[in-house]
Amino acid sequence: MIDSIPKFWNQLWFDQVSPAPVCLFRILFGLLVLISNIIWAPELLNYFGPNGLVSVATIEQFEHGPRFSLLFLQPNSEPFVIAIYAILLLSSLTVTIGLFTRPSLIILFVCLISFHHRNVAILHSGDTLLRLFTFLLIFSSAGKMFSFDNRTTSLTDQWKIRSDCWPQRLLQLQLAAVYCATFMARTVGQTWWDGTAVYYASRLEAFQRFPMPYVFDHLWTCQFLTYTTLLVELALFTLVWFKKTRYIALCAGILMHLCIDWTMNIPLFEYTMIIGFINFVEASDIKKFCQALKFGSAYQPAPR
Amino acid sequence: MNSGKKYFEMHHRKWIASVFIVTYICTTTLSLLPVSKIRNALFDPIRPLVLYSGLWQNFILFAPDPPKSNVGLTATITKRNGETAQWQHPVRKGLNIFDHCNKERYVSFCSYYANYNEVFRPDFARFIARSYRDDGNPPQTVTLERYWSDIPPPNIGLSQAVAPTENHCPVFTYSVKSSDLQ
Repeated sequence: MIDSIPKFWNQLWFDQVSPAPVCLFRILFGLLVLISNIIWAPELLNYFGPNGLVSVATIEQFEHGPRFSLLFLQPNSEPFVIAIYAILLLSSLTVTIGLFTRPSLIILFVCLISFHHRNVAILHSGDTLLRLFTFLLIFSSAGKMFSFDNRTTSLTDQWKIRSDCWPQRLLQLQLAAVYCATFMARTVGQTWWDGTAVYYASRLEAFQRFPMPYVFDHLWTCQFLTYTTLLVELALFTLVWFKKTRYIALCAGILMHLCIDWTMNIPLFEYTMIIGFINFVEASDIKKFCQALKFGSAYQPAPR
Repeated sequence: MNSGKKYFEMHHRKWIASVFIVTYICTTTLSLLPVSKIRNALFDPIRPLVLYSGLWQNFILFAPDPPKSNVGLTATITKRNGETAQWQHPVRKGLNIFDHCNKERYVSFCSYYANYNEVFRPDFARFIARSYRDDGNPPQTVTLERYWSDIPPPNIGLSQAVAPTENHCPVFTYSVKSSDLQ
């Protein structure tokens, strides 16, 4: 029993696996960070500038404890905010294409926490998750495939690359932890037990997006969606660990997030969760997918 | 036992990675556990480091229950000549999808932070005053007003449109200084 613990630990965290899922995740993650930050552009100085919604002094008063932010170094300078923002955009672009991947991820993380700590009052869960994903990606082999960093290695050879699985496992655990925490917090809520949670959520003006006729007008459909949400969340931190049930859980998760995205206005949060699922996909399945697209190892250049 | 021990001794990198893994899992678990005496006792010593490093996390949307009322914040700006203007957070107006996304963050700020945390209100009032800057007729006061309407229970509220924001109450009045408008 005691003998098997180090072996199990070793197998769980230090198995040599293809970094394909993490590398594919890096591309979509980088794109998402890029888009989410471009969206800030018109309101950048209102959200983070010296004459914006919240001053640095107020944030320091509101926060309980010290927080790191480059923006605290020059609290009264608009050009400084714009400069850090430009670095943020550039680093998210270089992460997406896999150019100087690890340094880019470190810079991206520093920039993200700088903006997030400058104004925590405008953040949502998606921002938190993107920040944590950035941190974990720093330790991964995210630049080893589908990247500029490794452009000299053929795609066929890239599929032979192996690296420690622990950064990917931590990315998986982090995502599962989100579902676990949300599920646990909701199980003590009365409306999640009586099935009316979706009814109340659908009546919140701030979150309303596209209409869903009939569905939100009947109690049975609201109850069905409430219990289904809980079940899918439960599956996404339990069934997702077993090969046989993993893809069923992930498909249910994608469907749930797309439905939420259609009906509720929580920009990009649902997509952050969906792209996180890539870390649960087997590298062999990604390879099959690439082969189906005539990409990767199956790709044969046409004879001249 | 020996093979496992040897393996670890030969791979210092794995030890360092293992310490990191355990630390990250413990930090995540403590961050996400419900508040309790035990959790606080364990988390408080590391909290400053977690906050400083940006590794804090909290995922409690619609937990334990979704809110049962629609809440928001508007502002009334009174100018020097007595004229008044009404400020609403931008998402309430008809916006295209891009504007909707970039201005959406006003919603959480107005609905929750500025509404329930007094500390944000003076800055927010100054921000609104600046957006109504007019040298000939500058804003004199900004009054933040909370509005809300309770969502009726399903037996009443189903098949009904969302109730209008029926309750209003001023929560903060700020006298604008000329330096605020610089």
